[in-house]
Amino acid sequence: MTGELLHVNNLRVSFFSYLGETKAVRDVSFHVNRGEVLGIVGESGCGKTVTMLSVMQLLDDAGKIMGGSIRFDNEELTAKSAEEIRKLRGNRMSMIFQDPFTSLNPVFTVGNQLIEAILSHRKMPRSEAWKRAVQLLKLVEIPSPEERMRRYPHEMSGGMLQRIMIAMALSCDPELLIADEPTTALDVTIQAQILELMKDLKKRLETAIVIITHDLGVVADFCDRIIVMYGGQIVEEGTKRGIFYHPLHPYTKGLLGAVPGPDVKKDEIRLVTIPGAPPDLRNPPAGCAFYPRCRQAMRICARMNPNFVEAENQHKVRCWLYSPMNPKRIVEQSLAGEIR
Amino acid sequence: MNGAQLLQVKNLKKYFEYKSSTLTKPKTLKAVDDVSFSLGSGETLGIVGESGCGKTTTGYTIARLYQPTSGEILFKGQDIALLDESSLFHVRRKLQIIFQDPFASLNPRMTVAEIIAEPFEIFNIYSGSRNKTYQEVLRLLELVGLKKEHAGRYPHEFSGGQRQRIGIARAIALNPELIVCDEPISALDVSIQAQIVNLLQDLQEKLGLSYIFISHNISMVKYISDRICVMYLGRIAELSDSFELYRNPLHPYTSALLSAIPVADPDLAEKRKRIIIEGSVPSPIDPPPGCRFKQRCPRKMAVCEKEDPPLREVAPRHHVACHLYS
Repeated sequence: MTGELLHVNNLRVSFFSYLGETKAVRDVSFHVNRGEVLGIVGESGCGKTVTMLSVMQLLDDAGKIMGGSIRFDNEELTAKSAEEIRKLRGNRMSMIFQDPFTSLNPVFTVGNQLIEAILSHRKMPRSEAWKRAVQLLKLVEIPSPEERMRRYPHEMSGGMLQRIMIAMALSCDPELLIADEPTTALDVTIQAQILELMKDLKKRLETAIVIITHDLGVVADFCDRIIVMYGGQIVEEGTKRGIFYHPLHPYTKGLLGAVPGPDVKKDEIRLVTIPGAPPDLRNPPAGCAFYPRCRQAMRICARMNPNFVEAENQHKVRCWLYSPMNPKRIVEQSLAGEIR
Repeated sequence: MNGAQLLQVKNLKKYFEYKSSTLTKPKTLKAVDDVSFSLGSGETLGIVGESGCGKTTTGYTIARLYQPTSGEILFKGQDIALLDESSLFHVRRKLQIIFQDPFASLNPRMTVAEIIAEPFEIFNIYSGSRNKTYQEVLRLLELVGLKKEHAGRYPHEFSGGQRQRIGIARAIALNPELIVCDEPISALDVSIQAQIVNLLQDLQEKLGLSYIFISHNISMVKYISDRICVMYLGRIAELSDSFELYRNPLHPYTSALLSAIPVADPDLAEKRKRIIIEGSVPSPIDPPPGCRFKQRCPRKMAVCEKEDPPLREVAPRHHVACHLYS
């Protein structure tokens, strides 16, 4: 199975409050192929979670999709009724959230909740659903699964609960699995366990995975492609190797430099910092969102937002430095032409 | 770098009484159990470990926000473990703390200038001269990378990184010698974390500060610290110079912890062998005898079940608590 599974085009999402409109996602386009792992990286407030919540149609009342299209397996999701979406959600696409402690209902046993997820999409006797649930717990490597089925969420650790969340998300063999910061609330040794599990599942299942994270290290391991978001927009998109070994956008470079590498000592190398803070999306800047923090900013960056262009093969970037419309480049080229 | 011993912690213990119900006998939660280390002037000691390992309790106890159960805390040669509040008053001038949550650690009803000036009022420095105090506040603001205009604003008008800068300005106001930094960057975004770490380092150079840097972010701790103390379930598992610890981890827990750090380098990430340790940190309430790490240890031996390994110096300046090296 190959081909496009999810295609998001020019998505715009806004939140409305007494402070006015916050443009959380501003014209975002990307796609996810079947069976691939896509990483979405960015800092808090960059729109990465909101984008994927829109795909799942899980925005709360304050949030509204202002435009654009979301096509899942060639079907337009934005036009579907709540009923139709419910049939898809948890069935063909599902999501894991950041905090496993609040994602499960504390008054029902884990088994109950797993069975509920299965029975809401599949017609089968309860006893069979029980078996399926036990199988799922085995899949996510939970020891003594039969016994765990009868337990309540508070009796388990964070790592265990996150495994149960993954099991629940996989209960109907979804084609798309969205993991929103699946390891952020967990300790490093537990994070390593969960990442190892997800890597293993990637090999065994044909599910496409979108993993949202602020930690570039988390996606270095098993993503095929990476999207970097900033200020509600995608600023760079490329293959894993392209992003890590040949980053183009100054923001991506800054993010990579802000994490000390294995052999970096404080007396020798200073961490690269990105001065300032992310933009306020209530009044998004007219020019490039990163302009106030950018070391390589030019005059045009303040005035016009650059287009998202393919700078290299399979490597797109939203930055004037790489734009064919870059005024500096045009002048240089025409000068070179005159000399010739 | 390594001046006179500024802080010496000896056999520090902090136990909490834990009652699961009114009828049962209270249990003991051993948050910090026999921890000893020392810190030189101008040095940075990093404390790392997973949640519940006692790193924050250690920091709080050293800053005497908690009364230790037993042990000594020699700060500039004076044992502050058992001092009463009035004697502690003067110690606190030299021993400050930066908190984890920059949103909760600043009073929302005070302006930035009032927050930073509070230490001066408490210690009656500048004997109430508002002008002098204000000048000093402005100097501090500049020192931590904020602007003069910020003085009149309230905490909610700032981002997380800026708030942490305000907390740092307050901590350095009285020219302390030791600052306990309790997870100062974990509530911040990646690009902001580096800003704060660089700031802390600049201040250390300018003011000759010593830090106890508590964090679960091992890459950052490794970067900023001269020495690192790895804690597990209330105990020190390993204590060594940071580069040595990274190059040559001895305790199985340290190795696992280091190999669990996600590296932002795909080739390296694919090549390296990860040591995945099973399970999670057990409860510190009435821990079983023997080594604390035995349930999760991939190299467990028979002796680990019975005997708790003491912290031993196995190489120069490299201490480890593990039976593998005895």
